[in-house]
Amino acid sequence: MKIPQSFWSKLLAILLFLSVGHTVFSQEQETKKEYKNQLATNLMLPIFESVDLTYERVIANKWAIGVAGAVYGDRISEISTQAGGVDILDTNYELMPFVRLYFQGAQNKSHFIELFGSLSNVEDKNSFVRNTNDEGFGVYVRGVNEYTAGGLGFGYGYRFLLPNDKWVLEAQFGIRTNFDVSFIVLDAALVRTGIKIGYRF
Amino acid sequence: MKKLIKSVVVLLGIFLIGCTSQEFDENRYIRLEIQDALTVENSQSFFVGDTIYFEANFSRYLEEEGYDNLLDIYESTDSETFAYGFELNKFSEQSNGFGSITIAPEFLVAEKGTIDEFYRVEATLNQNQDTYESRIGLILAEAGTFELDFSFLDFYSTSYDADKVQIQIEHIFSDAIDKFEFEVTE
Repeated sequence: MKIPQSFWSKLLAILLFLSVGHTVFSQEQETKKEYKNQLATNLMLPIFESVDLTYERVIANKWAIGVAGAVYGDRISEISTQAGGVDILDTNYELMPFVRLYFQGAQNKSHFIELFGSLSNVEDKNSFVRNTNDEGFGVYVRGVNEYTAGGLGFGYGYRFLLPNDKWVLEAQFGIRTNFDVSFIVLDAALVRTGIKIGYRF
Repeated sequence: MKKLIKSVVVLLGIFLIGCTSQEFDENRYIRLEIQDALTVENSQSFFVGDTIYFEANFSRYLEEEGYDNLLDIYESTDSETFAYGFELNKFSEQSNGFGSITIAPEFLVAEKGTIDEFYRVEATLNQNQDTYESRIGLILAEAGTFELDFSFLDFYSTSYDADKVQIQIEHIFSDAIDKFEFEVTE
């Protein structure tokens, strides 16, 4: 199979870009001890049969952006604050892009606030769903209604730097709404809340 | 900075109020539409002592927007009756218009379904269990110009069960006439 010339040109360009980027990154590490990337996970979630992973990228002196993914188990409902009334709402998994502002700078221990979006898979386990009966007619019965919900959240926290600066510990409080309205107020749930350990690189 | 903190506190407050609120069981209430299920036997001219009848008949299986198959409203609600209301208006020279009048129970006859003293009619599932039916007669006790008013006509499921939906059926007259005028003479 013949590989077109344009493929090799593109590959060379990508490798060149990566190597330059790596060189710059390495120099930054040596001179400023700056870390642009961070992976973190919430230490509290496994207690509730759940897990999350957050990737964060510093984009400016005080600003970072990132994305977090969480998979929730059954026990997460024990700390869920989402008021369901007669509905039983379970979030199965969630994807959360975020932007974070570090008040004392992204390379230091610092208070931070963040704004995040949310795309979550929700199961309403006591909803009315429309089934088809044996005669072929539609019938509403209590059942599980699964859907994807969009949301928006806000968080506040503090990041501690561990002695070698590569590892961090974060305490964060976060709250998110899927824009469900109960009477006149938004329903909300605690997400991205807990103690997180992170590794910077 | 203080302004920012205040804004954050207010925002959190709004969210936290949401934490304690109760979600309404919103998809319990199903709305449907039917057309020309109600007919009035209106010859437009009656004598005192005559009876004017109106009937509401609609299938247990109704179309629902967004679905290919019909909805079984009986199995969905467990309701053997669907209720609706009406008004009787009489023309007044003094007001040059129609005004609502009350009807004494002895002038109301239910040949199918039921009617109570507040003119609440219940269309009842028939023996074949395939159609909700009501046939109500109004005995005309005095002369004048009247109209039977079925504007904003809806049929409501009457039973309540936590594990069943409640259905409201909006009735549409295809000719957009929902008031039926007639003359009663001595």
